[in-house]
Amino acid sequence: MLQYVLAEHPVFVATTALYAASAAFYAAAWRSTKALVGRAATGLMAAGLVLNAAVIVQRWIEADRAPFKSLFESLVFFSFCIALVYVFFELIYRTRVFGVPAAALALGCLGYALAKWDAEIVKLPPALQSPWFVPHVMVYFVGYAAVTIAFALAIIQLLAPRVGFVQRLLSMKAGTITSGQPLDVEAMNFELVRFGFALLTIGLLVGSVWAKSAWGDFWVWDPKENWSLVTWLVYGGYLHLRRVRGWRGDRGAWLLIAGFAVVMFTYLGMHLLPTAEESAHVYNSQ
Amino acid sequence: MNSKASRAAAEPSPSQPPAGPSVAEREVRLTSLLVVGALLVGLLLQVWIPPGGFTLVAAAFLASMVLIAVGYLAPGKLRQTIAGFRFIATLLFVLAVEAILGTLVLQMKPTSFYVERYGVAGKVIVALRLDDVFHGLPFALLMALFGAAVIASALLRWPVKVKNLGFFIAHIGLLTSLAGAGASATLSIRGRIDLHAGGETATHVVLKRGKQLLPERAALGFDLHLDRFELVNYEPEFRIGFYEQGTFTDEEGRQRPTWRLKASFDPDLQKHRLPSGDSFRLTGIYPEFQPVPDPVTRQVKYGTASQEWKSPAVAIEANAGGRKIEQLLLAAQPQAVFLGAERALLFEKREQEVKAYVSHVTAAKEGKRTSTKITVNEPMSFGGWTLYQVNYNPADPTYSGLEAVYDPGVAWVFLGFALICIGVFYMFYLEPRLKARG
Ligand code: HEM
Repeated sequence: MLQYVLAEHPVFVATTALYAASAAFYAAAWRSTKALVGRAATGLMAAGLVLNAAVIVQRWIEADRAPFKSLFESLVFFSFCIALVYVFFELIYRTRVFGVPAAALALGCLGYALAKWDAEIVKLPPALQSPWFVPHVMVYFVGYAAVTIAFALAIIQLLAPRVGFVQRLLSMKAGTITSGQPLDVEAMNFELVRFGFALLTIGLLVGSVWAKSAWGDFWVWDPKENWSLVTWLVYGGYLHLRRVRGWRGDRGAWLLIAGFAVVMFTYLGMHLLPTAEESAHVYNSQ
Repeated sequence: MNSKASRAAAEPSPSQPPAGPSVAEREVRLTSLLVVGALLVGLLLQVWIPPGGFTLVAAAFLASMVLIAVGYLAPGKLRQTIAGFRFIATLLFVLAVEAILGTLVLQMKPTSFYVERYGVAGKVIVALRLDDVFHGLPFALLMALFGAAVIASALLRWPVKVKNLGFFIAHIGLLTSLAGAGASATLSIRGRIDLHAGGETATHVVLKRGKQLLPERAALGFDLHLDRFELVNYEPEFRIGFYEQGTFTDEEGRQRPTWRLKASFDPDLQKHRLPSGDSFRLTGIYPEFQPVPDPVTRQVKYGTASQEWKSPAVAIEANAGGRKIEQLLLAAQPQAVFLGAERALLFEKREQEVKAYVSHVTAAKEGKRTSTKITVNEPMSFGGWTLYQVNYNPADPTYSGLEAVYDPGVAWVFLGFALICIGVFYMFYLEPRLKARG
């Protein structure tokens, strides 16, 4: 399989290699005192991001439609969104300590995409040929990427008081040089969830407008719709609970982990539901 | 409510949660009481009151009004609790659980379905009305708490200021959407219209409940005629498919062999690598295959009569573990090139897939005639109804199934959506700036 992917899809392989290299450099930056190591990590991540975009564009041209139809295609886009949100996150917060989990998540998506490789590009069924398709998917995946990074940060938030190494990481400026000021992971998480939640809101509402134009009803209690609503409610619950005493520590972090589990189930687990067979996301041809 | 009273009620500032375990404990107790109470009362009452759009809306409206009124008239912590973050977060989680429940139990099926499928559990499902979670009383009462919470929290923050405008926009949006959804649930009419091209004119719709057709019909108020139904296919496609043998588990749990498509390629002249590590390339591509005798050597050569993909063939040269295989493959007579016992290449025509279902229709009302087309994602609006393309019959190319929807609530729902989006962005990204400016 690897030989085939290497020969037939070299840009995909290069993207994967760049993310892997950036993860390695980000990890090295935890140890090294040289700022160059960290900069190289960011550079590799940015290069990976550009090539990831190239994979998407190439597929878009080849398929002659937006490449968001199959699981494989969406995973490639998901990895792009994770890297994209992370790069902005790094720019805003001026820290590289979270580069490893971010690169690992992007890499994980591509690894899973490799396992779910499409044998063939599929055609777009009539229900998906809508001007809402592209904004709906794009907005959702950027939102998913934000809450996915929040999930990684929630784990770090939980580990920090318990594992000395993680605690030290949070006050690193460049590698082993510490600033003495630990990062406020909880506040970062809140910002990520706000951003993610705003996009999930738009995604949900755009999906509903689309459902109206395709099926005649803005809400059909379809399993995928319901679970998207559950995702939204859980993060909405988080945003409100954060104002309640006692929810900014471990409890809030656990809630973000649960939220991520719901996101993953919504994304990957729909076929497991007994109601999936009835899903209106399938065009009715009886 | 006057603003003095509301300011007095707004004692715990939103960014400083109330201190002291006793307040928190009381709030938790009251929240649990209200939520569990709403669910239990709903479950009990619906023994007598069947679920439905009207039940849902009437119960939700009445109950939220009662709750607000009691909250403001009765002494104690009720008002603060329902306007508080803990209460709303709890409600959001309980709603999430309801939504999950609706994906675990198939909704709105005939009673017999549940009994057949789930046995005794099916009877429980029907008795508790879990077959229609989103139109039942427990859900209605949760929505009531929800509505009451939004109103109470808005009153607490009254009056509207530039710095809290986002909250008001988003939460008014929520109420607008909910009210629209309520209007939709009670007033909307939806039904099916079955048409045949050139056949009779439809004047009525067959009503539906969920996905089930009902015996009742409703008048459209205009005449609808299907002029033509078109099934547009994607262009035919020819590909080189690489198959590997695997196994699948049949209905009796036995492992059976099957061939699986692992990769496929456009017919071109490049060398391609296969997932098995083997490779191949095409040495000739003949869209309209025709053997041509060579006048000199008298041998038959491969050729093509045209560049149109009518009856294509390809000459293939494969390399399987060092072994070279050359073969001519015709799409019309699929024949595999075996690269090994469990790997093969095939040149084949893909089944044509549907690109669009198009109904060309004419609607007429009091001398006004409109001819247009309806496709999936492009409905037609006429005479207060919107008509959607929902069905076709591969065995009857003249048939088209349309869904007719009359929904006076949907515009409010979408207006609410727009407000929610604007409000959320205002709250998240403008308010902090305004607050920073002081
Ligand atoms: C699904 C429905 C709801 C959504 C999506 C939603 C969304 C939000 C969001 C995003 C915030 C901002 C949080 C922040 O400042 O970071 C917020 C604030 C708030 N929400 Fe909701 N909300 C919902 C329902 C409710 C309801 C039903 C209530 C009623 C109690 C409520 C009460 C509040 C309050 C009081 C605030 C704080 C506003 C302030 O800063 O003063 N929310 N809501």
